[in-house]
Amino acid sequence: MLKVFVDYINYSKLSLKTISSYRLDFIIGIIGTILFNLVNFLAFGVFIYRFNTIAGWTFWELLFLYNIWLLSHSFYATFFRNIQNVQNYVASGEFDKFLLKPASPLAQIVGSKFYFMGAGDAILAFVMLLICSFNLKIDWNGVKFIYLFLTLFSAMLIEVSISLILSSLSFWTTKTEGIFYLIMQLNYSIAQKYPLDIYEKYIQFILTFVIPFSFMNFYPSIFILDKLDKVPFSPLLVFAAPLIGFVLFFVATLFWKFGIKNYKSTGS
Amino acid sequence: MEFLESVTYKADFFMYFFGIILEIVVMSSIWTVLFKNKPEIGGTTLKGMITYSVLVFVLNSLMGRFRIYNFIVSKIRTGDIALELLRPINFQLNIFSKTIGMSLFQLIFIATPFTIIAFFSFGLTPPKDVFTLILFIISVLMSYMVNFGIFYIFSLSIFFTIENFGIVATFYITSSFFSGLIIPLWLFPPFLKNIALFLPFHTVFYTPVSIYLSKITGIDILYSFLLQLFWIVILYVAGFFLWKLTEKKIIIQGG
Repeated sequence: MLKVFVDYINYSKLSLKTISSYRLDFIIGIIGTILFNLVNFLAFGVFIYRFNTIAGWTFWELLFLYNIWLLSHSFYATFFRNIQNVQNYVASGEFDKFLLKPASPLAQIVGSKFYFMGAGDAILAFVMLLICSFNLKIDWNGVKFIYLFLTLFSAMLIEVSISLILSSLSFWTTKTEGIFYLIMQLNYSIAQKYPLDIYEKYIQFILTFVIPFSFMNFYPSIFILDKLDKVPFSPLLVFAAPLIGFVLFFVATLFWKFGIKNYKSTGS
Repeated sequence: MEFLESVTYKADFFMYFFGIILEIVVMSSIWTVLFKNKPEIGGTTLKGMITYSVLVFVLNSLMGRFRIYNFIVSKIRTGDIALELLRPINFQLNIFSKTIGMSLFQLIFIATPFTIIAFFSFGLTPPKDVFTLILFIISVLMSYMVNFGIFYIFSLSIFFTIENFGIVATFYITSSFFSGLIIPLWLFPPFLKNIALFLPFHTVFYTPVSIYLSKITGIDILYSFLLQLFWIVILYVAGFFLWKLTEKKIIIQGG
């Protein structure tokens, strides 16, 4: 695993160099990303203007949830997003190229392309979290503070792992594009935008136990915002994010390893 | 945003269908929560709100905002746009007819079956009478042309600026918001409502669906038809001159 990491750092250095060559595109991309999210906030604003809360969630609480998600997602979106191209590499046969080199294929793929527009997400989410924290008067004791960092890290692991599992499927079947985007859209349209408790039980169940995107923001925020009365299923779930993150990552690496083995044995 | 990007570049039938279902599930969950213990808000019942959301998202799939964008921008990217100079037909009308072809496919295979399913599963509000339904269809036809005008101009303007997905996504979501795709204009605060009414976007989704739900009635229907017509003409003329500019630029740059 250490070797994977060292390879990754080396490939990252190359990717970082591309930033200077597309500076204007980069800046416009970041501004665009920020504006995109601001329009989503505007929609929250209209709901709150009319209804005061959405099922007991105030404007700043909704923004807190959204931006916890956005900050952890920005790590995935910037540094790990190339995982989603595995299916294309496998389909085009380009994947063999990665196997021929002495470095780990995963490190090569992840490190070979960064999506710098994700920096817009990170900047906005960080600033918004500061504003939310100030407006919500969150009582940041040591436990909450440490748990915030654990949450951000686990949330990143959850998204990376699910993406990796879905991409690994392409070693067995070539038709993974559809399923990949469908599952990722569950994340973008349901988990990212609104708190889980407004949805019907079956949606809550899917996003908790089947595809656990709700651990990226919803369950940890329940603890940080002291809203334990809103937790579905069990109050224990508010602390489960790190466990889910690590277990899922372990499962994802297994999928990847078996996938590559399978690819080698069938491939030419 | 990544999902928008994937829909832009490799949209297929399955993704469209699932995409609409998800949007409607999200919006109907929100309306259900907001209408809890309230029979109606702003003169609309929960059933009316869900009907609104289903209809706007079905219309959205018909309009194919990204299809227009993709079609034009791929011509710019590959340089095929220069070949258009050789054709004797009007570029704008040519693209428009291609767009209609793609929309007919959506109408037959996605919009119609989806609306029928939604009608029975969600229990949507039917229109007040047949006359309202006819007015709704007329309004949809005009909103289709307004939408085409907006995205034709936006896509063609890429030729003069740069292609950046951050901009495209922002334009898409801003036009969605002000068109009433997410929240109908009657729930907007006055300040935002005035901005929305000033822009052409609201005539794309808000106007036809409000006519369907009888939120716009009587002489106001005539007024909204005139406003749609006004935007069709303005956008067509603007699109016409933008193409003339494009032609000039192709000739100067090209061989």
